[in-house]
Formats: sequence, C-alpha cells, structure tokens
Amino acid sequence: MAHYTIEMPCSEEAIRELKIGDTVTLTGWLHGIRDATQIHMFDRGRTTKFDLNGHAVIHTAPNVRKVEPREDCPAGYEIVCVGTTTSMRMERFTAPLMLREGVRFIIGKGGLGDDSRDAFNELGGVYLAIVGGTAALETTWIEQITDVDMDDLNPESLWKFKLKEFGPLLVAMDSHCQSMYDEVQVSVEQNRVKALERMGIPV
Amino acid sequence: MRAIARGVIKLLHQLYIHGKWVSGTRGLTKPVTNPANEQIVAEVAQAQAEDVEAAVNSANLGFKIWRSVSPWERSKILNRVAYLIEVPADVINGVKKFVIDKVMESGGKVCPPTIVGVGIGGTSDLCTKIAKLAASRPLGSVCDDPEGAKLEKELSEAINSLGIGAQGLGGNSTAFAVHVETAATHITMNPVAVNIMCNSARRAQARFTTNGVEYGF
Repeated sequence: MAHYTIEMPCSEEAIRELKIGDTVTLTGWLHGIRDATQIHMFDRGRTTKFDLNGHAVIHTAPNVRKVEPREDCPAGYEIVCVGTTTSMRMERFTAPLMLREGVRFIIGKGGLGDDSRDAFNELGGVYLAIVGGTAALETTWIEQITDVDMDDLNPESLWKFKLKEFGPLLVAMDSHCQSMYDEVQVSVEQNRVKALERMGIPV
Repeated sequence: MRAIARGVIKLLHQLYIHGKWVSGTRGLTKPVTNPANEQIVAEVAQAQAEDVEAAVNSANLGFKIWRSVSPWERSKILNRVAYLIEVPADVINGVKKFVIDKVMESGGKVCPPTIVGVGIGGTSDLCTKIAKLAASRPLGSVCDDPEGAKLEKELSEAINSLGIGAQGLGGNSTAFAVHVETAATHITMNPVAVNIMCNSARRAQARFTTNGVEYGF
C-alpha cells in the first residue's frame, strides 16, 4: 500500500499503477458532477465546454453563494460547503463518462458496481473513496470554483474546482478488477448466515 | 354428479408458464375435490407433456439468468420479495431478517456507522413515520416497549457482526445503535419499516415560545 500525489490530468500509465488499499492526494483540478449533470450529458445529448480527458470527477452538489465575480471567485460563486453524495445512483454513467469524456478518477462514497469495475479495467480508471459526512474537511481542500458549465442545472451544474491538496483518498476500486466493496460483500453474505443462525432464524 | 361447493370454487383454466397465463395445449380441465366431503372446490387446467416441457425450459432459462445476477442484485430482489411476504405467521423472526437484509442491502451507501431506525406496527404510513422517529432518537436512549428494547440489543449485535464496517469498507462498526419504535397494529398485518441515519447524525433542537425561539435546550 503506497501513497501517491497526482497532478491532474493524469495518464493511463499512472492509473494502472494504483491498487486497492493505496491512497491518493490530487492536485490541480477537480470537476463536480451529480445525477442531473449526467442525465443531461448522456441521456439528453448535451456536451460540456470542459476537457475532462484524464481528469477526476466527484459526485457532489456543492453549497455555493452567488457573488459578483472577483479574483478569488472568477465564476461568480463562492464556496460554502462541498460534500460528497452516494455514488451508486450514478453507476450507469461510469462507462460513458470514461468513453466519451476520458474521465479517469471517480470520487464518491459507498462504492460503484460491476459495470464500473469493468469500465475501470477496460478503459483505465479508479474509484477513490472519500469519507462521507466530512464535507467540512473536504471544503478546506479546495481553493476556489474557477468555472461552471450547464449552470441551468444548479446545484447539479458541472463545476470546475481548483484544488489545494485534495486527499488523502482511498483507492477502493482499481483498474485490475479489484473492488474493496466486492470483498466486503462476500464476507457480509457469510456473516449474515451466521448472524441469523445465532438468533435462531432458519436461513 | 358431485355438487360444486358454493362460494369456494376456483376456476384456474390457464397455466402459468414463462411469466404469463396461457391456455394448455389441449384446453382440458380437471376438477379438484375436497376429500372430506367430495365437493368440487376448484377446476384447474390440465397440463400436457408439451406444457410441462415449456415450463421446464422456462425454469432452466430462468436458472441461467438468475445465476449470472450479482449477489447484490439478487439480495435486492429477494428483499423485495421478503417485504411482500412479511406475514404474522413469520412472527418476530420475519422482522429480524427483514432488518438485517435491509442493512445488508444498504451496505456502504448509507454512510455507516449508522443509526438503524426500525418501525414495527401501525398502519403502513405510521410505520414509516415511527421508523424515522426511531432513527432520530438520541444515542443511548432505549425503546419504551420492553420487547422493542430487547430487539434493539439483539439486532445491534447482529448488524455489527455483518462486517459491513465504516463507509462499507469492512470492519465491525456498522451501526452505532438500532432504535426500535412500536405501534399498535391490526392482527392481519405486520408492517416493518427501516429508516437509516448516516454517521453525520447532527442534532439540533429549538423551541418556539411566546418570547421567541429558544435554541439548544
């Protein structure tokens, strides 16, 4: 298990180095996306002005304050709080995000499923787990909102964040078909049988 | 001719094959009699070899599809079935199993460690409401109903033995607590609802008074 600091955007080679259990700190840029962003991108044919090739996205809808654009708020948005939402709802967008936009990192909480695991393997990507419920800390890792796209979907716009040091984050799914969530799932199913037996419930 | 019992006759002139009701290939039916009084209680379709063949082929196909479904997806489907068949005859075991399976299905998606709120009884709307109230009860509080309190302890131990762990990444910290709330219910029903509070269970309270709002009492 190793720790990596990775400047965005990132190459496929660097992604293939990462294994589950490693930790990563991102620097440079990060893009915020959520359900509506991806429904509009992949179901309704919208495109983004951002080049996401080799970049990282985070499942979020940040709390922001609209302000007059100024040096530290060039997009006219001041950060109030950036948290992370549960990823699994957006499982079906992993492959299109990678195929069409070239995304390599997905940051979220709770994990993604089999289709994402296969997409990470075939196209070279990883899932980075953040600790859900720690938005206050997460917010301190971000410098500013530099730009925003598809802002009619606010707060589910496509956000461009400039980072300080974003992490450490846990590599929970890698590009070698390994998923910590799959490993946990297997043992949980065995433990369930034992737990029910202890309570005298026929399985 | 034997009498057909009034009021209880069931006419099942079709066969359930490959997900739908179809007529048997020869359209034959057969009466079903009650051995106690020889009354005909139902009239059902008589399957022929071809019908049985079709049903077996469908089951075989279903088995192949089912075995390639991921365990997580399977648990989702089975849980849904479990919700539908929760009946009084399953008594408390049905409740326990339902809660365990809901927590398992939720895995890391609900941001463990959690507070698992369980509502038992009431009408279906009241049941979901008391599950929510249970989830928002302060940590360390205990259910007023002694049976509920017993269940809280037992389910808490069981859930923390599942190994889901913080953020669903494994370990023995899956739930800070299980809180149960109960309500009176009609004896034909057994509504159970699960409502899960994530780890950032921040609490704030305020009281509206004639002198304004009082915070943090």
